[in-house]
Amino acid sequence: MNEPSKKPFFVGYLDMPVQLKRFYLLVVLLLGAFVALAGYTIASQQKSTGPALWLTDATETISGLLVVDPYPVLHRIDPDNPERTESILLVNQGKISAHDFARPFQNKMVSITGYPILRGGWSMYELASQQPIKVDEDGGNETLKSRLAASAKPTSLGAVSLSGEVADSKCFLGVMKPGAGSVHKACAEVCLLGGIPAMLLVQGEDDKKYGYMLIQSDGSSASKLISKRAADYLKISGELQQRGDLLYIKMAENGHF
Amino acid sequence: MSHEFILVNWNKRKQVYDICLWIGIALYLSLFVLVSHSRFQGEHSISSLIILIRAFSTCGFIMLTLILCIGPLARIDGRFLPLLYNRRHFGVSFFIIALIHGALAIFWYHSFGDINPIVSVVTSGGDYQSFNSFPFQLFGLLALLIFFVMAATSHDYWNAVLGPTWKTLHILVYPGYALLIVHIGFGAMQEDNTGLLPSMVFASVILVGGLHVYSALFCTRANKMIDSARNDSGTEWVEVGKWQEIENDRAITVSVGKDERVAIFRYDENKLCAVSNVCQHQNGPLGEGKVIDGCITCPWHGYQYRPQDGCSPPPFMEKIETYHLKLQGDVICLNPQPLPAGTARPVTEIPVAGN
Repeated sequence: MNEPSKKPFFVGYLDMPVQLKRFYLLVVLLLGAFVALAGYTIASQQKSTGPALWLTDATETISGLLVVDPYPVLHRIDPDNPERTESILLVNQGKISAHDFARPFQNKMVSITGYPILRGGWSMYELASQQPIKVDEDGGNETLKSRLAASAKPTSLGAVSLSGEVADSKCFLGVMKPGAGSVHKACAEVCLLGGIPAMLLVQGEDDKKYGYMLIQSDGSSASKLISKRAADYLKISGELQQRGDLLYIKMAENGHF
Repeated sequence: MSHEFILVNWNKRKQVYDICLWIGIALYLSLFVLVSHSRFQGEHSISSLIILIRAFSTCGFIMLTLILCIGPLARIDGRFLPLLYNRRHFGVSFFIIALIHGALAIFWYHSFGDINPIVSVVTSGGDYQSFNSFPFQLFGLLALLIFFVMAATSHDYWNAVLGPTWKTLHILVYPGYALLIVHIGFGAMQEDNTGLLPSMVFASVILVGGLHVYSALFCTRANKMIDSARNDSGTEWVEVGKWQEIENDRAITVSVGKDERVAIFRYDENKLCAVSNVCQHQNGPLGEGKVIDGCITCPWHGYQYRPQDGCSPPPFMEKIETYHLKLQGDVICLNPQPLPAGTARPVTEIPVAGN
């Protein structure tokens, strides 16, 4: 006859056999150690997407000349260096362009209230919810306005052909970190469909990313046009332009990228 | 076991199981969030919501891997059966974690725009003809829908109502797992240049696949195979072995035909009975069970059946098929023709030496 089995038999609604209690003490300890190690290791292996800030604690107000097309941009004197001008991209809250808000203030000296988004040499403001744009009461200094308008005019820098990732500027500049790449693709597409300025991110030889605003051959926003190619790595040819301190690529052939 | 349906069926053992499970989940999530925030600060920080999305996604994937390992582990070594006992709560907990991941991702990546977030999940995010921009979100959503159906029916009520369909429905966990692998492969893995994520997925697939193959090849539930056991009239008696081979209060399992297994128990030292090997609750292997308090007890969830008629003791109502047995000397003979579930038949007694 068989010897009675020493194997413990577990029934959920009865007391657990002592041998199994010891076994499960070990199992729980090992699983706990595994869980802690996994949590620590996986979190540690993440990568920073580079220095960027989205200052949401309090709004800030800046003044300058507002240009609406192709993308809303406030051109102002650089507070740190009065000899140069600075171009600040403007976007609405959420994944929506600031075009509708900015349109009535086209080419006017205004004050903008919003939340700064900063990465490297780029600046963007997300408009505040209450009266984000006000016309300067004195109409602005005409000399200053002329200087800023001249700076905002496109200057051709010649033909260019560059390869890089199509991104929405708002997320990339610091609203989402990371705000580019394949996981972010759908978000970039929603942003571009909402009119957020489109950007081509080009990896430089110095391993830094250089951003070029993308516009159509007629000079208008390319955001919606290129939205389906968000996060794709494309070669784009066209005319390189400078407007203020921002670089734009006026794409040669719409849709052919 | 229960004779009535209640929303969550807890007992002390399940409570301990759930507490350990959720302590593990909390430990993983909190460590992930704390490490992420402490290592990446200020202008180098990672968005808090993205940290949460990553924490819940990796937590869910580890949970699903462990869930899929429990079944084969329990077949390989019976000491893992207690993990199987409450695997249902583990599964529902996994679904909650996956749902939070999905909800956060939809909120963060697909909301705040001009387009409906759910429409955006289905229509945006890729090109089916491009490897680099394959729309991985859709696969995650499909997997989540599968896990939702499983979680929603993960209850004895649905088990009873759906019958065999329930088991088929819950086999969908494997397509769900495959969809999740595709979701990760075309999504987060595309951006991972550390090799950690591909290693995680590879290890998971090897572990889950390896355990399933090993248990299928080397852990057959039948102790004996009986070929051509049944003739057309179903009255042929077949020898299944000596009664001494069966430990008291335990069973041997024999396969009769292609899909049918019979558990032959010895109990009260000198009594024998044969019943279907399949528990009516979740198809647990009764032959790996034990006679406790005079009842055959399933090793998975403790469902019980009387040896003499295959009926659960009142007030429970489950019934299993029974079989006729007879003894020829020391040899047990089985009539492989099953009797209707719950049919009583004469107890087969082993003659006591000297009588």
